[in-house]
Amino acid sequence: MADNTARKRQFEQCVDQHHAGLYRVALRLTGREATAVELVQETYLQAWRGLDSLRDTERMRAWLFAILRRQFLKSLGRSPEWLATDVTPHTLEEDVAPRGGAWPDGSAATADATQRTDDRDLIQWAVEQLEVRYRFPVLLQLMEGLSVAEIGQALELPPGTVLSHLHRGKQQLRAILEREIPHG
Amino acid sequence: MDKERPNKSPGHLSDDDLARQLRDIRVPDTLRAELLNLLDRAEGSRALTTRAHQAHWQRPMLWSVAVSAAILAAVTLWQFFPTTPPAPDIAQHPRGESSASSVPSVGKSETIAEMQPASDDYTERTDALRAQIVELELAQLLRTQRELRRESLPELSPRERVALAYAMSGEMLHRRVGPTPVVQEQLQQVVREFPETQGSELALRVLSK
Repeated sequence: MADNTARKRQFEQCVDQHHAGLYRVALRLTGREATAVELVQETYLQAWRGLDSLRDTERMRAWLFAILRRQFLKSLGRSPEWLATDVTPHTLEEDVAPRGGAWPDGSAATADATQRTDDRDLIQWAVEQLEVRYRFPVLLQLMEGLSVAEIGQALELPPGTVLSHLHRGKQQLRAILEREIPHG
Repeated sequence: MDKERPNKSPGHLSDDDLARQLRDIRVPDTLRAELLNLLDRAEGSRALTTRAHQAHWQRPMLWSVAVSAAILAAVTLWQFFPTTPPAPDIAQHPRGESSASSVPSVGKSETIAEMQPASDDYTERTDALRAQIVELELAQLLRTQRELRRESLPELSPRERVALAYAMSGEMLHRRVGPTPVVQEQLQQVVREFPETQGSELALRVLSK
């Protein structure tokens, strides 16, 4: 009974500290509020079930983002190994579309560029052009300030690869924005 | 990348600029409460699963106990209240034999001495029938208990099987209703009547608890 109470307290603490960050990243990943909420809920549900397996609470943030990433890939019907494949930006739209052409909230997975840029802000549009394997490290560092070590834990990547993905990802994000919008 | 260009200019983007734009998201006020409610849902689902699991094994257990009790009651009644001699037509067909070859007909003119062999024959056949019925019931009990325990029993002799069935029945009753006089008597009877069998060993173990 005491264990369960402590577990609940730990979970509540985990929600208080990290739910906003998880939601922000989830929204940037999915681009849809309802889908992002579902993704965060699923992440916390998995976290609650696996809370006992978390020995080092210092790693909680990285652990939660690792779950979020797994759930996101699961919603796309992809395995983590899929991220290792080379995805070029011009094929990204097809590759990130979930199977069946719809997101879990039932909305259409693809929209034309006009509708997308009308409905969402520029940075969201640019994130969606980014290769998926670069999205995670870039979002985790720029949005939530995770260290290279934490990103490595969350993505199960060695620090060298994380650094490389961060460099290329940010480069790609800037290039996408600057290519689309001429400086004036 | 032939897509309509967004009507905004990024200018020169530093990491801080990118971060600021990326973080420009309003987190729903209700999200925290929704996440904390997940616990209730998760626990509710676990409770349902537990209840379903309990019902899953309790039902066959109750059935088994009911069947065992019924068989025990039938056997006890059979032993303590011997039945009247069965009707001739039932006794004459214990194994599908023809009536003419198995039992002589009984006529009014025959004397008591002449009827005695026929009466003895009826008694023997009745006993054989009783033994067969008990055997069938015990076999059914063994099958039920074997399925319940999910384990296969070794091949046993009829005597071993009868002893083991009685002992297992007694053990189950002992576990369910405790060491009542009736249960203890059943177990002691197994020890007395079937010494040096697995049944008697089981009965002794249960009695010693």
